[in-house]
Amino acid sequence: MMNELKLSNLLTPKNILLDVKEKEKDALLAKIIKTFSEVNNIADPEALAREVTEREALGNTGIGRGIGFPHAKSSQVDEISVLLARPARPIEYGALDGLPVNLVILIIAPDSGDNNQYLHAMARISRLLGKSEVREKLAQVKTPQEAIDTIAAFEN
Amino acid sequence: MKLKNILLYVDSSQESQKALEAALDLSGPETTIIAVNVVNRQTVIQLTRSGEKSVAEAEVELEENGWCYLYNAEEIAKSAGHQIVIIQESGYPEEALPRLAQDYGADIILTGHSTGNSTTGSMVQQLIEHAACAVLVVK
Repeated sequence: MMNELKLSNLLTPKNILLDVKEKEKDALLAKIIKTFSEVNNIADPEALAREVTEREALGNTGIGRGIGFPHAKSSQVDEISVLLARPARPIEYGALDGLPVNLVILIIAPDSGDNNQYLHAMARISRLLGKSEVREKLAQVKTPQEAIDTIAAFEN
Repeated sequence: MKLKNILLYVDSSQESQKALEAALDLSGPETTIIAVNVVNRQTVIQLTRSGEKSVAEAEVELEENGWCYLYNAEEIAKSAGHQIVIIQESGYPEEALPRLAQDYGADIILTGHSTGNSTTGSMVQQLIEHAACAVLVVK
């Protein structure tokens, strides 16, 4: 498949949050966007937050099986960037399958970038996190580096 | 007729693209499009029959392509200001779609119809028989 962008290559210990204490979806998304903005030196974090929440309002990004996958295109980034968060407790996310979310991954792509690469990156991540064995391992990791190693092992 | 939920079957076909366009035409401000891709077991069998791909390889390819079609549909719908959610299932579309339509309270199922494709033709026929709601087949 073309454009094989790997999630493990996009992750660093700085863009992984484990055991996030926020208890509600909105607060969790706000925390994720704030951290993402800090890690990626986003010039206008409020604009980014607006872009993500406006897209979320047009359709819940809970893709089932306990995964939240907020995403947007933005002029605030130059390349596809991500942030992985694991809430301390499952969070009610309003997903279609009714399951609370244990894992949230934010992906932001440049608004003028390669749309195919963006679609394929999201498809790869969705397939990867759709595997129960990946989610089970990620539920147990104790450090961000362990999370990266776990994802890399399943991607290779 | 005001539609609250439209269940849209999404796959690689051109007719699926036309079904998406029809879904957007039928959608009002209160409508949510529920876009579904089904990793079709029948297609997995077809892909593995020649021996070129293992079952795991075929499933990976179909799952990943399916998510691509879904995110593409989502991108188009959201860019036009429509409400859409996406899901992927495994199984047979003719079984999954009527069940999902019932589970999610769909008013109508939209699917493309690939002319000359006997598998799609048979899928559509079974879908119409099993669905409890209206079915619109887009050519």
